[in-house]
Amino acid sequence: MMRDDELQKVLNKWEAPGPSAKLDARVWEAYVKNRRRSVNWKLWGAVAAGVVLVAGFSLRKPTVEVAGYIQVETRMAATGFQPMEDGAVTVVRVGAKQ
Amino acid sequence: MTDETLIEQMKAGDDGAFRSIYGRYRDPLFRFGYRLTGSEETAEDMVHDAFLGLFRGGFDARRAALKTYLYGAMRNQARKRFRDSGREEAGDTDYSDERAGPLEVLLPAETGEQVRRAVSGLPLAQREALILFEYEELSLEEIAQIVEAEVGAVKARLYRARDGLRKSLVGREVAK
Repeated sequence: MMRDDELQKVLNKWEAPGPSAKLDARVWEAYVKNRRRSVNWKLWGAVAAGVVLVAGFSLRKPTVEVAGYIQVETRMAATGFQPMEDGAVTVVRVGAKQ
Repeated sequence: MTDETLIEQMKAGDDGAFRSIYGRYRDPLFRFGYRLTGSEETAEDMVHDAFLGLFRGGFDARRAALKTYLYGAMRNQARKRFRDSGREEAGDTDYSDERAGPLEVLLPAETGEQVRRAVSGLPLAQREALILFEYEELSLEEIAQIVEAEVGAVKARLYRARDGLRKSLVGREVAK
């Protein structure tokens, strides 16, 4: 689309003013404030990450390394087993003869 | 230095890079905001907020160029303000009079005032396209990105805007 020179000449009769110096101060202030905030966030982020790491290490449970896995089977020989006749409980001293 | 390089430097904390970006876009953005809303005060607020969005991380270089991002931010703010005031498509000829602050600069010539009224009387979509094309000399592709429309739609809006302006200025001294 071509630019319309004739129309542009007419349009340019409406001149826009420039912004005030107040705008520069406002934008700069917002920029500095935002940068400070972002630096603070980075600082606190680093501190928080450090705290999490230290806490993680200190709360870690010790683990026992098992070198090999051994299957165990429990067996009991019941040869000569005789049930008690009366089912009475007899208390005997250790090492005493029954 | 390109905008992309300046943005990278600004993100790395280079204040000079931010000053360069601001110096590059402050005036064009302000002019756009002023011509769109008719108010210096509103235009300054819009420029302030557009830059605030920029350094708060609102800009993504993969999605848009810095120029179209900033103009787009201005345009979205203007639309929001028009929506809030219930005058989005009203062809707000007297919007500027209502919003103008005490610092408003009096136009030096009556013809300037006539042009202002004629441009302000255009529907918002046509006004955006006209200001970006005729005053800010952006390409049709850039305008299409800013107003989130097809290039064909921008052309149509420009055509209607020019036609509307000729009709509203016809017979007046300014159109001769």
